[in-house]
This record gives sequence, structure tokens and C-alpha cells, in this order.
Amino acid sequence: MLESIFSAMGVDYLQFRILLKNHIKLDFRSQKFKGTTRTNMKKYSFIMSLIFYLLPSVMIAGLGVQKSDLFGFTFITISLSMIFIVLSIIIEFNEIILNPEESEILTFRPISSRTYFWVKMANLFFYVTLIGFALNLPPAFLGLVFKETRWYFPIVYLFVCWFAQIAAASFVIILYSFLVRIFNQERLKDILAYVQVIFTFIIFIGYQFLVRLTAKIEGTIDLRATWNYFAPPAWYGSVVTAIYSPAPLDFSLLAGLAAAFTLLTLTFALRNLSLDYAQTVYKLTETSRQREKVANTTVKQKRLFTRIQSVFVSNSAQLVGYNLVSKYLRRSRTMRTRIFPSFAMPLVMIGLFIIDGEFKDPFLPGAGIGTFMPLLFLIWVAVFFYQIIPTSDDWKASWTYFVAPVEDFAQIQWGSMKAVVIKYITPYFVFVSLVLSVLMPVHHALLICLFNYFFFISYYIFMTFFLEYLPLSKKYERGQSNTRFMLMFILFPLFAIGGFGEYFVFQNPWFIPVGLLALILFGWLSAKFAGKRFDERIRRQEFLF
Amino acid sequence: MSATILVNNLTKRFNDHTAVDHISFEVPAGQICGYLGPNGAGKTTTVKMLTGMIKLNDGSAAIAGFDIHRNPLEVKKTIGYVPESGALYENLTPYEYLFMIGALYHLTGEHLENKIDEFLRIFKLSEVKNDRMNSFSKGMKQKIVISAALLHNPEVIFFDEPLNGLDANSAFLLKELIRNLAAQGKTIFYCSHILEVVEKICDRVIIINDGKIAADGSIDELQHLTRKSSLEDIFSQVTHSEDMAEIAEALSKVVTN
Repeated sequence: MLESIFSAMGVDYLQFRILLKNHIKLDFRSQKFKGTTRTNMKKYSFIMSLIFYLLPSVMIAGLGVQKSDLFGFTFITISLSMIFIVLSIIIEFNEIILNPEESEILTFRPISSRTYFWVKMANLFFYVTLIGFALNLPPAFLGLVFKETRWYFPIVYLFVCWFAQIAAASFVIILYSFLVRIFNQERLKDILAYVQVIFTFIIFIGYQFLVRLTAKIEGTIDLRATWNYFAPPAWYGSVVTAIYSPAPLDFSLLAGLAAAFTLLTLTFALRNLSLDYAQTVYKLTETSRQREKVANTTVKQKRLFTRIQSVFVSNSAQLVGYNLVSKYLRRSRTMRTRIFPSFAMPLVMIGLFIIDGEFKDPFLPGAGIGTFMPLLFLIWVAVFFYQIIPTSDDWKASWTYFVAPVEDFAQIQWGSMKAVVIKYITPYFVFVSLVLSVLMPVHHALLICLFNYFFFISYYIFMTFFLEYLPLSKKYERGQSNTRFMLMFILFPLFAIGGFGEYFVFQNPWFIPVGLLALILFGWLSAKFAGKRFDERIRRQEFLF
Repeated sequence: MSATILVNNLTKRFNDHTAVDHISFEVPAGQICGYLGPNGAGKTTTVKMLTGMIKLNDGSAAIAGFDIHRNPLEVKKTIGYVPESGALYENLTPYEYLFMIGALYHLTGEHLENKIDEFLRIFKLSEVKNDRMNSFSKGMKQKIVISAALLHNPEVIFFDEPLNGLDANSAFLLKELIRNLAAQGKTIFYCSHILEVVEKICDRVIIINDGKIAADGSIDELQHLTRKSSLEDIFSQVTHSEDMAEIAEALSKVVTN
């Protein structure tokens, strides 16, 4: 039975089954699911992400139940789950689909393009189903609170949401594949990196918008509003609602859109995309020679540059970390894709708080906590660097660290952090101060950025206490970005504490020098102790004692 | 003998760089054809095109009568390939990996299980058949890669540096195996930098330089043509290598400086 269905789809059932089974097996056996034997702790990062997904879902569904009718509730909760699914695919799981890594193992085997494509899609749908389950479970049960729903609401809700998420996932994959088709491979790799960054911004703003919308909704969402027809979550929401209410024309039309969207995305993926899929992946495997532009600098300029650099980078081990990280941040597309979205988040948050009318000059008496919340996102950027700098596609080359006579491995780490701070963080804070100076006096903007700059550096140094790997020495594991993003949402209440701290300092400006001194002292002490601990940890890990 | 590998004006360009430039050759069934060239000459690109891993820009090629562009799946069913990278799914066990590869060629059941067991026994890997391969040595992994290439009894086999990581005994075993397979009528396409091995086992040698064929013939023919006695000298001559002794001297000065 199954074999004939697959055969009708142009998929080899035996190959499909064995490949899917092994891909899932491989995912569960990879490092991200393994406990670290060293500390004997089980760190299931993907399972943790699933738990993290439950929390915003409970929050949004709880608000929706209180403030809206059944349609509004389903619209809001399905929006959340679709946003998160799209976000996960953009950040992490697109690699399941567009990953040329296994080309040396599979592309010369007699696997048809369609079989290969559906293995990848089924692998993706497996994660979509797991993540979707975590996201949809709370609203599926909270929806029973509405008087028109019956006992089987959770089943109906989960079923419709699954289709919504599969359609959303297929849509993103179609979009990616479209880009692969129209651009040549080198250009494409750059474009994918930036598309990912742009998508992340849009989805992040979308999430913030959803939180605001949920807070503002009172009563019902107008079914006849034109925007419903442009919002896929409204289409799927209307399917759920239509089951429990007499179905007026609007519900039917919206539900029809849901059916059409699901059908179209799946049909397109099944027919067109799957046929050219192998070609799509091949394109990503082809690389051409890339020559770095050599800066046209004079000997004098070079000397000056070296002298300036030696002020900041004091020894050869630091220089190694500094040069490696500088070059990889400039050349590695994957690294840029994973880090650069963080730069936009503080600006997005400042923008959103300005729109809300809550962001003001923090030195003025009227400035509330809303002024300080987005500023704390500047510190969050450090979390991205902390998590991404130890990872690299070339992680296997890390053996070079351990055969070299390095006296203190922390020096390599300090060098890499200096590269981050000098080349990216300093210009970024200057830019932010320019943006802020549009809203407030220049010296206020500069002081805010200076304070947060030191806050960033001391926090970044402090995190070395928890660091386990040298720069670029660890394989990037799927699930890492999701965890980071989810942490960002979940730790939001903790930001309030930091917000109060900044509020106190800026409302009492004579505390600024004290605060700065405290941050410098904190950073210095952290460097002293964390550096020692980091060096010991690396030596123990690599049996270098 | 009919040609099992038929290559006609095969070309591959990466942007403005031509990696393989209109090459043509034929390899008959049962022949061991060595494919040599300096680093970056286009050897692996040729093999990747012939195994359907990358698309060609110009020309055509056929393996066992199937056009690589029009019938890629049929071509892939006929070939075995040992890639230079030796890539495999290291988080699987040898048994799981070989079982998966076998299933991809529609081998199933007892026949497949027995075949896997035989490969593992001969390569002395039976004891580790249920261990994950991420802890294996390079040589152990290479034996699995070789088994995976031969499991489905392919008609044409592409070897790209197959001796990578193998110990002396295993290397000897592989060389003997290649000879036996050729004697049974299999076509072997052998890419390597180890000229001594190529000289010993190959019936014919194609030398590629800058994407173009620089020499093609049996060792005897090439010796006669170039008036050189060893393959090493022939290789140096046709690839226009500089005087290696001079370069080595310069390099040693750099080291001691």
C-alpha cells in the first residue's frame, strides 16, 4: 500500500525508509543530544528547546483565552506557532534541506531527486511536528475554556496546526529553492546568508508585534477585515472556528484559503521542486576559487597598523586568536549569518519602544523602565558572540592549537575577544550612539553607549567562566540557535533587573563613574579568574598536563 | 573490447576557471586505467562528473552505455566510488552504514547481511561491527568506504586515492583485489598521486595537467614516447615540473633560516 503511494509520487520506498531512519538516528546520535561524560550531565539541547517552546506558547495562549473570542484565540496561537516554525527553519533547520555536506556519501548513489527531496522533507517535518507539538499543546487544551468548543477540540486544533506548520515549512523551503535557482552558487551562498538575516529581523519584529497585538485585543477580531485574507494564521484559525460555529461566508472563504495554501505549497514542492532537488543541492557543492583582495597599503601604513594593533594585542597567542577570528568573521558566511542578526535586535527593540512611546532620554525624570529594556538588548549581542565564536565549519583544524607550545590558552581567547570588540562592537556602539543622538543630546547618547559598552565587555569576559572551547574549535550543532533565541524570550523577565540597574544609574548621574569603575573592576576580576579556569579546562580536556 | 567509460570533450568550468578542458578518452571493460595529475589538475572534478556528483558544462560521457546526463540513475547503479575524502556517517556503526548503502541499491535480507559480514570479516572489522565509526582510525574508515563501494557488485569502479590511511597489508590486499576485479571484467578508474602503485597495477595511464590530457597510454608506450624509464620521470616531463632537487634545496634553506 505505502509502496504504491510512494511509487506514484516518484519516490523509491525502500530508499526513502532506510535514509529517513538513518538520518533521524544520526540526528539523535550527534553531539547535541549526547550527555557530556565529563560532567555526567545530560544536556539534551533539542529537548530543552522543546520545553522552551512550551513557555511562550503558554503565555500567549493564556493571554488569548482571557482577551479574545475563539477566532481571535486561534488566530493568535496559530500565528505564534507559524512564526516559531518559520524562525526555526530559517535559523537552524534549513540545513536539513539545503545541506551539501553529505554529497560525498550520497550524491553518487542511485537515489532519484524526488526520493532524496522527500527524505529531507520528511526529516524536516519530523522536527516541525515535534516543535509544533510543544507549541500547540498548551492552546489545544486552553481552547477548551471557550463555551462553544467540545471535548475533541485539542485533536482538531493539533491537526489543523500541523497542516499550518507543514505549509509554512514548505513555503520557506520553496522560497529558498527559488533563490537557489535564480542565483549562481557563490552569489547564492552570500544571498542566503543575508536573506536569513532579513528573515530573522522580520520574524522577530513579527513576534514583538504579536505580543503587542495580544495585549491590545479586546473582545473579537473582525472577520470581515480585509487583512484576514492576507494573514495565513487567520485562514487556519477560521478552519478551527468553523467546526464549532455556524459557518458564514467569511469563515468558508478563509478556510478555503487555508486548504488552497496547504495544497499549493505541497503540490509545488512535490511536483516541481522535488524534480530539481538534486540539482539544487549540487549547486551548493560547487565551489570556485576565491581570492582575497590584498589591501593596497604602503610600508608606512603597515607599520602604523602593526603598532596600533600591538597596543591592544600584547602577545603571539593573543595575535593568533585575534587574526583567526577577525578573518573568519569577515570571510565565513555561516558565521556572519549566525551572528549578524543580533546587531539588529537592539535597534528593532529601540524602534518598537519608540513606536510604543516608551523610549525616552534616560537622563530625563520621566524615563521609565521602557527606556532601559531595549538598551539591554545591546548586552544580548554578547551572547551571540559567546556562542558562535567557538564554532566553525573548519573546526577539525583545531588540532593546531594543541600541537603548538601555547603557555596559556586563555590568551588565544582574549585575542579573539579583542577582535570582536575592536572590529565589531566598538564601531557598533558608535553607530548606536549616533542613532540615539537623534532622540537626545549627543552627550547623553554617548554616555548611554559608553556605559553599555563597558557592560557588554565585562559581561562578555565574565561568560568565559562557562566557556569550554577555543575559538573556531567546535562543530556547530543544530538546535544551538533555537536555544539561544528561546533563551532570549524566556530570560526576558531577568532583563527587568538589569533595566532597573540602568534606571538607577541614569536617574542618578553621579553614579555613572562609580558604575563604570564597578564594571571595569568586575571585568578585570573576571578576566583574572576566568582566564585561569579556561586554560585549566582546555588542558584537562585535551590531556595537555 | 567495448568501451565501458566513454568520455567526449568533457568540460567543467567554475566561473572563469576551467577545471576540465575538453578531455576525451575511452576505457574498455576489464582495464585498470590510472588517472594522474598534479594537485588541482582536474582529476577529482573529472571523477565527480563521471559519477554524477557535479554537472558537466560541455561534452558528453557514458558509463556502461548509459549517458551520464540523460540516465544518471542508471549510471549510478552501475558504478562504485571510493571518494578521496573517505566521507561516511561516522555516528552509524559499520553494520548500519553498510546495510543502508546496500538498501540504496535494493539489496536486502540475508543476502545483504551475509555480504556485509563477509566484507567485515575480510577487513578484520567483525569485532567492531556494532561500534560507532567516530572512534575508528582513518584506515578502518577507509575499509568501510571501500566495502560500501563494492557491496553492490558494480561494473565500473572509481577509486580516488583508495590507499589513504591503509596499513601495508590492507594496501596490498586492495591492490590484489583491484587486479582480481579487473580480471573478472570490471573496469577500474584509479586516481592517485602514488606513482609506484599506479605503475604496478595500471594497464594504462592518463596524465592530466591544467584540465587537459597531457599523456595517454600504457607505461611501455609512455616510456617509449618520452624516453624516460620511470613513471615519476614521465610525470615530471609531461606536467612540465620544475627541477625538484633545486626546489628542495631552496625549501631546506627556508626551513633552516
